[in-house]
Amino acid sequence: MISIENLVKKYDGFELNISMEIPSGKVSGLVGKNGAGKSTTIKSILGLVKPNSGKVVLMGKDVADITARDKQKLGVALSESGFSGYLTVKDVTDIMKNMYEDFNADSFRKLCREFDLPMDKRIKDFSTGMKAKLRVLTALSHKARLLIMDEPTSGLDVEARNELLDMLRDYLVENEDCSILISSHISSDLEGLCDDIYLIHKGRIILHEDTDKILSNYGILKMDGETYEKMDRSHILEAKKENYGYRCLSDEKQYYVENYPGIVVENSGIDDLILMLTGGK
Amino acid sequence: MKGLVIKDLRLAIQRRQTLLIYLILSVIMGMSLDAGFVIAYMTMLMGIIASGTISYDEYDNGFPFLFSLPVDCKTYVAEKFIFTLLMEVFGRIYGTAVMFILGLVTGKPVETEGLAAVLLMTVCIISIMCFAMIFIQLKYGSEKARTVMFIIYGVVAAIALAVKGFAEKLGPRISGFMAALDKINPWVIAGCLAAITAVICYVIYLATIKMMDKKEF
Repeated sequence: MISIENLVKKYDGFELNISMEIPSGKVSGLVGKNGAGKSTTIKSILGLVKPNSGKVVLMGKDVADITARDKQKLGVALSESGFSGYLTVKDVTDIMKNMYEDFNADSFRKLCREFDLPMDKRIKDFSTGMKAKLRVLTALSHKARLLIMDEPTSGLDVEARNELLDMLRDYLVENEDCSILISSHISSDLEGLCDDIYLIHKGRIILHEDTDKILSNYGILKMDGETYEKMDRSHILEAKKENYGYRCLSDEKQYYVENYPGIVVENSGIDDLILMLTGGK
Repeated sequence: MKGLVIKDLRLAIQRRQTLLIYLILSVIMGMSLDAGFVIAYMTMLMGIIASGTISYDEYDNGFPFLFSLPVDCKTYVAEKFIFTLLMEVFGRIYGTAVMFILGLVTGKPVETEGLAAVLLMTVCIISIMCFAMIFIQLKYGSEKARTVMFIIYGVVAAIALAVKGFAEKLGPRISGFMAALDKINPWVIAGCLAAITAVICYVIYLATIKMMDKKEF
């Protein structure tokens, strides 16, 4: 659904250089710290910024050749951009009805009511949570085959984040062929949603792994300095010196559980991955 | 395109209080000023309101999302130009209606002599100005565009004054040319003026599309 081949985008003091592949029917997460290049990646996929080199293929077409008609099948929610704050949900409904062939106005209105979004209030007067909900609802309202979401849960409290993630899960159940690329710096949001995770750091993809594998195989190992020096480190991805010894990230925690009983082995999440791989040593 | 027009209509209505003041003002002006001025004034105001919808699109970093919708740069630019023209037509019709209704109410007939020429001239100038404003707003953003437009108005006024002074100096020498102009059928001059305006507007339209294609959001 999305294919990125050696995409390079240069700014003053920052260079994005990535390759990615998001197949049809798959949910991929893009995680990384603020300023890692998540939004630039998403903007490049959408053709909003022009790459210096490389190729982005979106729904089988070079992104430069994507037409307005092709965009009918695209649902987008961006973190800091949406419909003008001077419009109301009622206005948005009328605009969407006249923009998308498959927009379901009744269902959109019903969902807006369910999520307590007032129809006649200006969007600029909405709370952060309401704005985020509207952005996601808008992206889900027209049977998009590909959803691209940049930090859809940013700035939301836990309850609102869960509501949004549930919305996405429901959409996936109803639209099995749909692909999603979702970026977030709150990685726990992605653990229960994504099939695979791309970790981006300083404009480079430093890890691409299936979420299941991250949650089942990856682990945090804690040990003293002597054990660290003597142990087989072939499955250690990153090590960080601590006051008690070393804290390591491994992609084969079971190997260490079986062969080094003295080592403390903890399950790791995507947050640990980010912490270790982008700030370790 | 239809979705964009609806969006712009809803955004233009956001300025309903300003719009109402303009509409009332036109009635007050119509009582003392001539029809040509009032109609041109209303056309200009509607053009400004239409091109002003760009600042609402731009508000709160709205462009990235706008261009992720089924909208390409060409459609966006075309819609802005068409919407501006439609608003200008509305201003023109409203201004004309106000003047004729005032004429009927007050019993003072509308001065129609030379009105067609004035209207044509103003349509041409206002269309070029509004289209140029769209280009400048999209290129520089609404904030900077105000400064750029202020500079352009200053330059245009300086050129106009210079041309006027130059023509006065050359008065006797270009009297033959002026006399020759007088002999040309006014409809031919009107046609030429409309054609030149259409060419300029088309060039601005193409330049705006080219500029938007290169723009990053």
